[in-house]
Order: sequence, then C-alpha cells, then structure tokens
Amino acid sequence: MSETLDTQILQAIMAAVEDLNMGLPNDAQVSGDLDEPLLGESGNLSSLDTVNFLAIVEDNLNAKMPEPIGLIERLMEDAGDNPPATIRKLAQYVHTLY
Amino acid sequence: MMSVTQCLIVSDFNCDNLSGYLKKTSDGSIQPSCAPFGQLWPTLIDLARPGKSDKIETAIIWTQPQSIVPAISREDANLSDLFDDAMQEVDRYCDALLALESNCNTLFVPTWTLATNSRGRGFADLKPGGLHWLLGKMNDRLIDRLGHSNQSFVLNASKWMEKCEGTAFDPRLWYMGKIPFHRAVFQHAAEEIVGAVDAVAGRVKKLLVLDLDDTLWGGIVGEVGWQNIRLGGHDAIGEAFKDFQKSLKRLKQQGVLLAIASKNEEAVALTAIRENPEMQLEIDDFVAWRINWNDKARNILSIVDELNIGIDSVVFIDDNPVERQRVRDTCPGVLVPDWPTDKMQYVTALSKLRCFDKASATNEDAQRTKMYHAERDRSELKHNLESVDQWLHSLEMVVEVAAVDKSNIKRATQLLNKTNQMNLSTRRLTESEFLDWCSGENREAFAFSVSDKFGDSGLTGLGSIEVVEDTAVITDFILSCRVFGRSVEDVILSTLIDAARRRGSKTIVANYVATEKNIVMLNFLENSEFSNVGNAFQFAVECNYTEPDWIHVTQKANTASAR
Repeated sequence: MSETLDTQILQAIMAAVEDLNMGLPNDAQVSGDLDEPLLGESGNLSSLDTVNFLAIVEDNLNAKMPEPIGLIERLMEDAGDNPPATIRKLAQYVHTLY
Repeated sequence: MMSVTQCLIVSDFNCDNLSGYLKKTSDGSIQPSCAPFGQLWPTLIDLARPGKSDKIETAIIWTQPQSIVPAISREDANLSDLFDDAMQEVDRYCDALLALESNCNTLFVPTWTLATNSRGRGFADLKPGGLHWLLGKMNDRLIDRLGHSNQSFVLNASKWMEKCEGTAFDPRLWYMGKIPFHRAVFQHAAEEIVGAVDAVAGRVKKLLVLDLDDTLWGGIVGEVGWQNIRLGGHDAIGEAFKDFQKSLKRLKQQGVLLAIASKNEEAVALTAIRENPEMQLEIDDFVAWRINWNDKARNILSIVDELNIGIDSVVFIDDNPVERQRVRDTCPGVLVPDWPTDKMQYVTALSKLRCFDKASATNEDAQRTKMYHAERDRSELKHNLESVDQWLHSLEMVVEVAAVDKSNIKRATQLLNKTNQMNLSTRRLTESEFLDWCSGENREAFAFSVSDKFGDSGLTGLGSIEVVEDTAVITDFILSCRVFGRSVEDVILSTLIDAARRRGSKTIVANYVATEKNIVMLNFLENSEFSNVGNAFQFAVECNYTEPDWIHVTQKANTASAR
C-alpha cells in the first residue's frame, strides 16, 4: 500500500470515529484502537451505528479523494453480513477500492 | 443537583440517532427513550389513554408526511383532488396529538419535510397539485391546530434541513437503517430541542451585558468622537452594527434586559448613545451601565447586584477576547459566547444564542425594562425621603389578588420557574402541572399583581396552600425581587391566612426548603409574625396578621371569597 493513500484512508476512518462518538453515550464510545472489533457480529457497534459509521467514512473518503466510491454499496456486495471487523481491516479493504 | 427531563421520542422512522444526540447535547440533562419502531398510531393511542398513571414529561412526535397522508407517496395520486382528504388526515393527527396533552406535559412536533431528492413537479411544485404545495398546506394546518396550545410546540424542521445544504436526506441511511436524515439533521434538531426543553422549564437568561466600542458600534468613540463612529449610513460595517442593534432591541422587547459594561469615559459614551442619529438603542433601553475604566468582571457583578438577579442568568458580549476570558475566569456563571471578529457576522452570532428563547411571551416581558427603570426611580425617591415608612407611604401601592387560573397561568408559571431568591419551596412545574395542582379541592393558589405611582410591575407574587385536616400548608410563596421589601410579602401571608381561616384550618404552616439562593426567604420568615421550630414556621389562624397600611389590596372577581 502506498503510504500516502494509507494515511489518508486512516485519517478518514479516524475522523469518522470521532464524529460517531459525538452521537454515542459516554459509556459506548469507540476507542479508535486499530484492532478493536467494531463491525460484524462480534463488533461493538450496533447495526444502526455500523450504518452511521460507514456512511461517515464514505463521506470523509469522498471529500478527500479525487474519485468518489460507494463504500457501503461495495461492502454489501463484497462482504455481505461480514464486513471487515476492525479499523485496520476496514482500511485495508478501502485501499483495494482505489 | 442537575434536573433530568425524561423525553419520549415517537416516530415513524428509526430515531436512535436523535436519541444519541439529545443525550450528548444536553450533557445528560435529557434522558431520551424511543417508542417501538413502526408503532406510531398504536403508541399515540396508548399515550392518550384516559387514566394513564405514568405521565410523560416531554414527548417528541416526529413523523414523515407520507405516514399521515399516504397519498403523498402514491404515484398515481392527483394531489389537488386529494386536498380535502389530506386535511382531514392532518386533523386526525392533530386531534391525536392534542389528546396526548392530558398525559404529557410538553409536546414537540417537528414540521413535515420532503426528502431532498423528491423533485415533485420541479420549479412548478408549489402550484396546486404539487408535492411541496400540499406539504405547505399540511404544515400550515398543523401550525394552526397546535398554535393555541400551551403545551404543544411545532418546531421548524426545515431550518435543520437547510443547514445541511442539500445533504439532509441520506438515501444510504434510509435504505440500510430506515433513517431518513443525515446525522447533521439530528444534531441540529437535538440542539434546538435541548434549548426548547430549557425554555419550557424557565431556564433562560435574563440580562445581556454589552461592550460598546466595536461591539455596539464600529470604532473607539473616545478617539473618533460620537459623530464618527461606524453606525448605519452608506457603509457595510456601519449597516451591520445598525442591524445588530435592531436585533438587540428585539430581544429587549421579548423581555431580555440590556446593560452596558464598557471601558470609556461615561460622558463621551452616553453622548454617543444620545446624540448619534443612527443609534437604534436609546439610553432607556438599558437598565444599567458601568462605563468606566474598572475591571469589567467587577462591573458586571456590580450590575447584577444592583438589579438583584442571579449571576447565572447573565450573558456578556464583547469583541475583545481578553475581556471575554477575564469574565469567564472570574464569573463562572456568566455565559460568554465566542464572538466573531467579522462585524458582519454579529447578527448571525446573536441569532445562534438559544439561551433567550422563551416558551411564550407575556405582557410583563415587553414591559420589563420599563419596570426596572421604575424601580430605579423608587430607589432614588427612597434616598430623598427621611424614613422607610415615609417612602413606602409615598409609593401609593396597590396589590391585586387573583386566583391562579387559565387567564394568568402563563405568567404565574414563568414566575414559579424563574424565581430563586424569595421562594419558599422552589418547586418547578409546567403550566399544565400547575393548573392541575390548583384544581385540587383542598388547594388554593393566588397571583399578586403590584402597581404604584411609578408604574405597573405586573404579576410578581404567588402564594398557595394545601389544607390537610386542620392545618393549611403553604406550598408556594414566591415574590419577584423587583417588589420585595415593600411588604407585599406580608399581603401574601395575610391572604393565605384568610384562605386558611375560610377553610376552617386552625394553623397555617410554612416549611422552608433551603437552596443556595433563598436565604432571603428564611430571613423574611424569621422576622415575620410566624413562630418557628427549625425550618417550620407556623401561625394560629384565629389571630390577625398585621397588614401594611400603605398598601391598598384589591381582588379580582375570581377571588371574591378569598379575603
């Protein structure tokens, strides 16, 4: 992975974590740890928060990158009910879309 | 201790996002819960059930227009032909909302909006038969039907959508989670609702203290002279200051007190206010000013002391960040908003302050500044007269006693929820709760309106009793600090004693509930004719309580038997 792209993707995801936390109660905040299980059956986010989170990530990526991607749609096609579970895995997946 | 408002969200879409933002924005002072998803009508019917024991403090009922008028989403519908049916559906919905009022203290109902991707008939969509045309009619009807209620408030959801600049509707969230709006919409909604809950509970700011140079006008008046300050005229910045002053004047009309804390020569600054023809604010629009070279924080405290109001009801606006920080550091209760450096943003910055929002406007609000001026005249007279007795007699005071009822409940509730100092129990109630309480057979509540030769102070006192066997317990004893110290407090006690006597009570009791702010109440009771054991004060009803002979007491027809 190119370092610049990697950094940009991680920044977009981390900004989404921060944004998501604004709407989450204090006891349900996302830590931002790269390996914290977030998405999918074993993840800490509810299905609703997962949708919120991915929508923010998609908005952030589209604001940063020259080419827009439909992250949620692509994830549904590629991963169905088993999205990348952690921030690190999500970043790796996003990288494959560019 | 922070008071927590329970808030039920009833919606035809997934409203967990709103719940999250409400909790966050209110710092936990609102505890939201969501009614079951997809159960709009069953929930409304259940909540309106007569005799329901668990009352709801606050409910937010947020629906999409197609849930109320299903024809909106029918492709083949001719909306012009369906107009009457649509209005009937809206009426049915409004009836259901109004029926909730018996079990719910406050209702917030956002207006209906359409998804930003519904184009309707494009540019002609506001013509009869268009989607936006019908939506406008539906919202008009909703506003008309709920507009006269004291408990229901229609919130303008279009404002929240506009702030999102075309991204308010998020199809991804809709298809994936049945959430129609972008999270920013919920964030804006939560901010408005938190402000509205505070306003309904009477948690509003009363006094706005303003700097002068580069805040009320452009430039330093001491250097350029009153003729050359930037205000109005053919000058963009001057116009911006003029509009800012107009906005402040509007706030004053709504009952917010204005004051000045400025580092200037007083004579120079006052000349600018009096002589500059572009000034929108006049000297009489300000209840107090401290124009000198002293510390502004100290000046603000001095104004607060003069007006006898709580420091936590003050807002301070100054263009200088150093002065703002100084006031933040030394007067923690004062709200000091960040202020834009761009003068043309002043009106916008002021409009973002929700702390002055009120649930309703009363006559007293519009007259408030005048009342404070009258109080200043009274104080001046007091200094000129030899004794307090002489001064009190010279005021020619009249106190009108009325039963608390629908005609005065707005102002009575405002007083109940905003008075901290001369307050026996500091209980807080909504209008409907207070009316409900007053309707009890063993209870009586009185409103006291005070006037004198300087003017009408309006409804400034409350007193209520609840009779338990042969004892009348004073539940509320409230007097605005504006009229305290002129023996109106003795008229209140005397009225309550008369009411207790009429109801056959032998003793009347006042149980003082101490707060951080009501020591003045305790001092009054200790100096009254009541005797006390600890915080319980009592009086034998068979005895006469001494009424001041300088107050003429009258009563409204609805209290004919009260005295």
